[in-house]
Amino acid sequence: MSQAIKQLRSATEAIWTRPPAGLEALSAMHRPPSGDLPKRLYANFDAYWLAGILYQLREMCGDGVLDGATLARVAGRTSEIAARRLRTWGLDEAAGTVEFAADELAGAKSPGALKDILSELIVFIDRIHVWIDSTIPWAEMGDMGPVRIPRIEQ
Amino acid sequence: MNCMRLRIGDQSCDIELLEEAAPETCAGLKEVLPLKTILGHAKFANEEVIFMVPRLFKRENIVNSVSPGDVGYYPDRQTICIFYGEIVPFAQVGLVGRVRYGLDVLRSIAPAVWAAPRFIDVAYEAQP
Repeated sequence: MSQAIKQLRSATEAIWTRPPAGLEALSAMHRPPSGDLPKRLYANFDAYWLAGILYQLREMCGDGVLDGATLARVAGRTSEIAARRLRTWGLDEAAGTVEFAADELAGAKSPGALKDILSELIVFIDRIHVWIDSTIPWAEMGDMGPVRIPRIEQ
Repeated sequence: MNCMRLRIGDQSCDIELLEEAAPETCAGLKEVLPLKTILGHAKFANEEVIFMVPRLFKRENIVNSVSPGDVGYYPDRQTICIFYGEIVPFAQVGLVGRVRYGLDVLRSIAPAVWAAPRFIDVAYEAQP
């Protein structure tokens, strides 16, 4: 097992049963004019889609459509941007792990190595997502308001 | 019959693993268990509870429809999906198990899980 894989796996283990640093602070963060919940929703889907996109890139490893170097670059860049978003939400430690992985992805030497790093990073990000998701009161949000579509006034 | 045993507070649920139909997923699950993890409720598939496992397994035994008591692995999210009642199909899963005991337990705790996810313990049980 490479050092990068060990490091990512250890980062996942650290948050498997303990919430990631910054999760509680996310609620209290001041991002006007929004209140508490919108930030959690945004952070939730930032993590959700990062894992989802990385999963698709992982599926593409070795299928020959994109060469390994291109895939590595796309995966690295996508992760780098997502890390910035996690920092916006105060999840600095998680962002640091994603940045570390982004560098490793960009420098992956083979499709196999790329796939291995992606696998570990996906699990890490999905665990971050599970934690954020668990803070959102989905059941209470069911029917909070009507659909509102802006219309051009005549 | 080898199974996964879920401990949910003082209650339990046994899931038979379909080792012939989904050998790699079942072997992978055996490797990562025992495990403490968060049990949540699906949001768009109706009567389904879910928990994440810390490894990706390959797609196998993919099915288009499931029945109450079926247990799936959703490969895109490393998630075990336990269908405990009426299902509104949402995504394809690999069929990896079948609830043999405790479906009523899942039905009874599901509303509380929908309101607030909770920790559970999941163990591998080799049975003759």
